[in-house]
Amino acid sequence: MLWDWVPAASPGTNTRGMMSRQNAITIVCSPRQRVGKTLIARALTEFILADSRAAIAFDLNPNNAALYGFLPRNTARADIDSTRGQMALFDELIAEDEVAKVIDLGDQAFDKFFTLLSQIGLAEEAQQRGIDVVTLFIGDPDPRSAKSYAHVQSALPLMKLVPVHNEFVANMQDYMDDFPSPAPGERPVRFPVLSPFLKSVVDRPGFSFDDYLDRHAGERTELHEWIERAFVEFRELELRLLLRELRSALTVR
Amino acid sequence: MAKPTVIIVGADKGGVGKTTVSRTILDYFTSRNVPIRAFDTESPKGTLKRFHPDITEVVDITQVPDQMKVFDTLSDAKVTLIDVRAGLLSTTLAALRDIGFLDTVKRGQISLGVAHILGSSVASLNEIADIAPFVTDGKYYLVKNFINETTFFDWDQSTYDSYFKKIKDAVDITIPKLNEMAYEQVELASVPFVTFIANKGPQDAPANYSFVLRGYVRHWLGNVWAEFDRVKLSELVSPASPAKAEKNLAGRAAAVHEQSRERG
Repeated sequence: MLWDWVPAASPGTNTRGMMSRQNAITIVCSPRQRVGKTLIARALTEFILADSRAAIAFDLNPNNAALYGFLPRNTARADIDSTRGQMALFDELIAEDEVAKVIDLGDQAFDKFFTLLSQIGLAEEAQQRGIDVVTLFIGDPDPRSAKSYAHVQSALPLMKLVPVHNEFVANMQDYMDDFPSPAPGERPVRFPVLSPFLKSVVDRPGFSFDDYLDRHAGERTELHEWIERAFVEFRELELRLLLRELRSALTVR
Repeated sequence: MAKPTVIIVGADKGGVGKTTVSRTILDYFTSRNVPIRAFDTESPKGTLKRFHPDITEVVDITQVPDQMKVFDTLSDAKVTLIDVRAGLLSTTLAALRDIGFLDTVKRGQISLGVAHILGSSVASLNEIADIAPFVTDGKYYLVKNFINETTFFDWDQSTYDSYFKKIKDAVDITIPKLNEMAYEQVELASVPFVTFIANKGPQDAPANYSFVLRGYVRHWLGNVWAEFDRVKLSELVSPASPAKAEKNLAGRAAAVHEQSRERG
């Protein structure tokens, strides 16, 4: 009700009626450990950077800042336990600076993060500023994850929720029905599985997907294919989100 | 003409958050486009006026000329809020009885709401018994203010309930906690809560408050207003009454003024 009354914040209201991918906020999350959050957040950040767009990642893993370790120049460590930490993170997220933001949301911070998001109205403020908020929710067979997915979907309807199937986790048919896309007919993002050997390669300190593609241009390796598949998934995701918006705009008219 | 509504916010102890509650009520009615004005009785310098300068006047409610200024002009706004200085709630209500204001309420010509902000001591509960007799024809709101959580209530819920049950038609309102930094920033900004939420400064100038702090204030104010909705605060503002309350009051206040001059 309060949102209905309070006028839009003064700076930068998007008058085009379309959300901007340029400064989109993407939250990579799951309430469970070891489902590939950091790898997906890392690949997504590198995908945006490889596309010559500005990006900053936020590492919200209090006990293990792995993303910060891989992309120290493009990652900020975030803390939402203190009000100052919350201000540092959320005020930066909604800054109108044409920088894409990627959040690697650790399982320990999951509940608090979404509670805060709902309380402070991030999705509403972002919408007023024309900033897209996308949540990549990595599914897994644990029923608690499906419950959290349904909760996020109902609590934050303005956010674009996208289910992600990480092929490393389990067979898609075993659990992904519990993670239906809010957009009818839209398939989940499918993140390809990495063989243990390739995992050991990409987990080397300083390894960069984009650098690898550059350095090994003209070669065709298994890792090439993996990176390209992952990047194609992200590109298709952007197109699907654009389609969602167009459909929604047409429905409103 | 619509029936005037008077909301008195007070306590018999300082530092319990009277002005904060007054500010939320002003925002509540303003957001509903209900014309409202306020009187701040922290004369000569009022805190409420700092936040709502356009609709607030500082008065000394113990002085008859200022009483006239408040009560003889009730029809100027649909709702009149009076932020009563600490320790003067019973005195103010007694003065209102003396000038016949409470009789006017009894006749249904004016709506009265009294928001009694409870202090932390058991003695504060005893004040309920002092205040309640004045509010038999109005709405009596017992307000528990947890805004900064520095308030430690000496009394437990059962003790409170035993006092609460003695008062017919009293309703309680709980003001929830607000994040300390957010509260402090609104204080520094010296603007209404809704202005802070809208990222505006005084005179609606663009401001640059933290989005997080604005979010905290928005969430908190939403909960406070939900409490006001729950107790149907807006129903105090009711349709017109046939009698002309302000005319009667003007006569009575003038008489009291005359008496005081004679005594002086």
